[in-house]
Amino acid sequence: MNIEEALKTEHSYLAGEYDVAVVGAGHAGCEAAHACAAMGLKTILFTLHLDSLANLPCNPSIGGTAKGQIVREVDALGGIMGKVADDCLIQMRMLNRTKGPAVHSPRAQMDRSKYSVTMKNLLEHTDNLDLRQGHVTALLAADEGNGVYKTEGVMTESKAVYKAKAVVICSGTYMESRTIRGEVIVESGPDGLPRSVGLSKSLEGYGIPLLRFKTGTPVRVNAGSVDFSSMQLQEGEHDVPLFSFENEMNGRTVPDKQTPCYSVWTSPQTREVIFENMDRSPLYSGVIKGTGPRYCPSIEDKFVKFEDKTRHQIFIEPMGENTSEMYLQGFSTSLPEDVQVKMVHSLPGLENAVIQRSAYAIEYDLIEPTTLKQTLQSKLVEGLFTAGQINGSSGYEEAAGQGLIAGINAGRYVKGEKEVIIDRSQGYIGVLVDDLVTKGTNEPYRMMTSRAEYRLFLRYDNADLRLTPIGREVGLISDERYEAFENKYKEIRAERERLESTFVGPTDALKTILEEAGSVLPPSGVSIADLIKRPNVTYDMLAPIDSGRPQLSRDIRKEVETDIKYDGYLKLEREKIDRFVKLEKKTIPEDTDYTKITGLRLEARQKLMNIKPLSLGQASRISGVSPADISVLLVYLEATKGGTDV
Amino acid sequence: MMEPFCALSTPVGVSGIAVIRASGEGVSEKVSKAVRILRTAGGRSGVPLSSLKGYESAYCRITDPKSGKTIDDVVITVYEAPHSYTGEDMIEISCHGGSAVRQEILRVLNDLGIRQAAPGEFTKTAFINGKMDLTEAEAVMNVISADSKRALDASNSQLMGQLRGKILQAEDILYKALSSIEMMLEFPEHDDTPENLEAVTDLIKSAEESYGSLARSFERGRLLTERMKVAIVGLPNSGKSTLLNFLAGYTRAIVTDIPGTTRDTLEFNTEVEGIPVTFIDTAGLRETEDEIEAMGVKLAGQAASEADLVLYLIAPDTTYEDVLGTISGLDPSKVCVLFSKSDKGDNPSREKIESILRKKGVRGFAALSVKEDRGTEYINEFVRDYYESAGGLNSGDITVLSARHASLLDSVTVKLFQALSIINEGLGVDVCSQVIRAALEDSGQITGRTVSEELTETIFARFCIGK
Repeated sequence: MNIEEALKTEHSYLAGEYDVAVVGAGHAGCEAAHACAAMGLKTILFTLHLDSLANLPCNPSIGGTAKGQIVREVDALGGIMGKVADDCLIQMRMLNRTKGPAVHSPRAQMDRSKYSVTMKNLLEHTDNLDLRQGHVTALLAADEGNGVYKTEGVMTESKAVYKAKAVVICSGTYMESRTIRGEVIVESGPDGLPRSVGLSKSLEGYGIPLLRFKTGTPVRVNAGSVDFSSMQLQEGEHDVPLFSFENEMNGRTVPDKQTPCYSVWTSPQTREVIFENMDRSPLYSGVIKGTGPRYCPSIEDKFVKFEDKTRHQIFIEPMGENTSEMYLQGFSTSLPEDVQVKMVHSLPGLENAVIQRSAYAIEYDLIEPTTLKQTLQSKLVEGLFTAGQINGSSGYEEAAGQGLIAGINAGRYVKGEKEVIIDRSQGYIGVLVDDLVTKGTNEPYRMMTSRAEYRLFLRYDNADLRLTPIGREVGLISDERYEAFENKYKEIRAERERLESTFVGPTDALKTILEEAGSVLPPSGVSIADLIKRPNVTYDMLAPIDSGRPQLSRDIRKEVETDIKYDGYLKLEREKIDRFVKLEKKTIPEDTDYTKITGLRLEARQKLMNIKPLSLGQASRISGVSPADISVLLVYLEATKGGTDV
Repeated sequence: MMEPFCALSTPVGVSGIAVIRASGEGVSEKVSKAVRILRTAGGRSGVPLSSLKGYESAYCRITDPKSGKTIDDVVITVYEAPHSYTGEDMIEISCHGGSAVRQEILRVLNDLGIRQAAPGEFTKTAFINGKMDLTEAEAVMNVISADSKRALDASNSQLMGQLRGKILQAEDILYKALSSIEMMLEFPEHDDTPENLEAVTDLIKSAEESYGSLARSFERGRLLTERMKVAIVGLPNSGKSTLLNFLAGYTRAIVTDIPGTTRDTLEFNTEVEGIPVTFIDTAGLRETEDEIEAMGVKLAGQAASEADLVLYLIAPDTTYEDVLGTISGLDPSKVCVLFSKSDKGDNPSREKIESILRKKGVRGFAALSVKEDRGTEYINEFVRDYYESAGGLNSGDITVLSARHASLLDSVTVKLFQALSIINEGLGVDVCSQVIRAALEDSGQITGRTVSEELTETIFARFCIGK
């Protein structure tokens, strides 16, 4: 349907004209809408329910391995997730402390309802942005002929027509969703919220292929009914920086008072209850057809697939400061409600637990992500962008990262400016987007640090260095923040140079320090940088023999130390990145007709026609495209002078 | 200009000479580390290869910079950019046609940072550097796809399949190690997560051994593609030619009682229990004033040093001192001693000789009488024993086929060694993981597996992960 047809439907009316309309106010939609508004574009953000904006319908935490790095990247680009999370955290931890700086990952427990309210408040106070509760049922686009469409706006269930030059759809798990608890199937969105009806059909009408995925969430219990005495306690930590650079530059730190988490192991009865009722599991009876994620199996899945494991660990996490609700991490299930009760009561300390919300599996529609460009713009409908679970991902952070990229590019599209692509060497966000649009996915895609080739370089502590210049260029970083950022990196460079040019002699004081680290005294003078390179020797440890040391923040000290310690490996990684970037900069014209390129194998032709890669680098990552095909493409591009180096 | 690459440009298979080409910036400078110029076309010698001008040739000796071993005497022609086939700096090495020589030279080039060319890369480079006109583009693209198909066919060959199988096994071990590390990094709070690196260290060690032995088999693997050379050596009149004639089944060599009858080396090709062997009869090792015989003795020494196995014959009347005097120039690890003419009685110092030579590391001892056909079966045994220890027949070992494979396997071994030392030093597991990953990427160039996909699969298959 185009805008004229929409306005001719019965009871329809023109409700507004915008530059950008964002559909869905979850973690992707909020970032997209905020970015567009901050770029000066007139923006509207639709949500099915304003009270559940930026909802955390699954685990009440933000960050973790790879995800913590993404939150930092979103913040470095000028996004808002990190800021809101800093305001709402009730516990903060740094995961992987002992395992090398590349995988240090901050994770925070959230006050769930505070998160929603804080985000709503922030968006309500954002210039150029209108919030609107409404059920968008159709994308409006003009047929340009030859199967090409151009975005014109959206229409809601109440027949309100909104004109928009670009539309960003972030539908989460809501499109045509249904929840499943054993035999009980309900047409509903997550958390009992209304679902989205009609929108996915509308997208399909423009030739966009749909997929169907499944995910799930565990039981919530009342803390007052739980005996925590025998459980393992997990306290928060205080020496962890906040997510947002803006808080860091203002000297804010994590709160002193933090709320603990707990963990228990499943009992033999848990296993028994599950196996006794396996015939009632919709996963095994074939009721659930959507593809579920392997990294987040339901508890019954875990027992079935890993039969030799007789018990599993369950984490009990608080949902907020002003609620007694607790989340049972690791206990997701789609077994019927009556079985869930028995399962929960089989856990030590939860024998009398009162369930406040039951667990469920949820199925939803999404689009085939390989129909997207690396900007998250659709290749089939011009001006349409998608982000988050609609693209096959999973996780709040993954959604936020995509929302920001889609928002930035929707804004650039409306303004007629050059697109912004984060590549695989620049951030986890780049790895995420590239994997989705180039390789596609057949299960909800969760970010993992092992998916990144340049992990040593993609650290939480240098996210600003990697991405803030890009955020600045697109207009999401304030002057004040950019100045603070530049100063931080000036200090880092200066300190590194100082450490490399400051030499210390083999004194007794140094001997004591080194012996403590299990290292021996060097025979003659050595630079402090060389000392830091030794195993177990840290920057802070050397303070007593380093009199000229300036006062520096913890973040800066950590970054200097990592850069020095890992110098050799980072150099190797840099070389790899340089080679990678070369191919990434060889662009391929979008109208390339691969069927006419002689020398390409048939499979490669089909795959290339389908994905339409933007660069030779992207082409090389398509499965079924061989190095020889890439050589052929290179020759073709040279011969036609089609490709350009950017 | 591109990073330098090289390839054999004459057809694979036995030929009189072969040509290896290398192209890329500073290629002659890189190669000069392995080359000593014996004489240039202009008559100079001892100058570095990089001093040669375009189109200039030189007679050179190529040695392996690692071991210092001479590989071949060759002719190298230098081309200066842009006046070459590819339009880049190039060299052409004309070497002898044996497959071992070609593979060794390619391996040395790889070691010097000149990688193996991708299919069609020479032609592609020539095209990109404007050495061909636009209408040839299509032809070039067809060359690339045809070349890569041929490479694929070769890799699907039976022998390659066996090699791939071995490497896949080693890769699986590494993926297991890597997925354990990734589990520690990715899901630090998970109950499945390994608590320490002990198991991982064992896995890396075991993979390192597999890759190492595959890499070493390259050296031994020459035997499978070439004939094994067995030199028959000994003092004059110790029965060498008699033995050769016996093995040949007819009179190949002139046998007399006059010591020093054999002056040239005589060769005879046969099979010993299915193993292709060349037996080489040599002149008796002794000081002589006869000029022609002296040359024969010199040739004998050379034949012995080039042979894979040396049968050293000791007659009953040979003294202990004579044996030690003539055997000292040989590599004991490839020598088998035959006490010949045993029908004429035992050598009185046999025990003494055996005990001394055994200590030196001589492979085996046996008594032989060709006349009475006694002890000849020991010759078969010696040959088979050597062949098996070198990676042939029943040993079940797989042989690495090309210099490219060998250099990739070497590089995997080096990286795994590095990974182990990172663990020992207590540096972050993140770095260790990156190094193992790089090793798997090298290995994947042989097997075609992509690390990112395999790794995710392995993690999910091995561990029970949930949120």
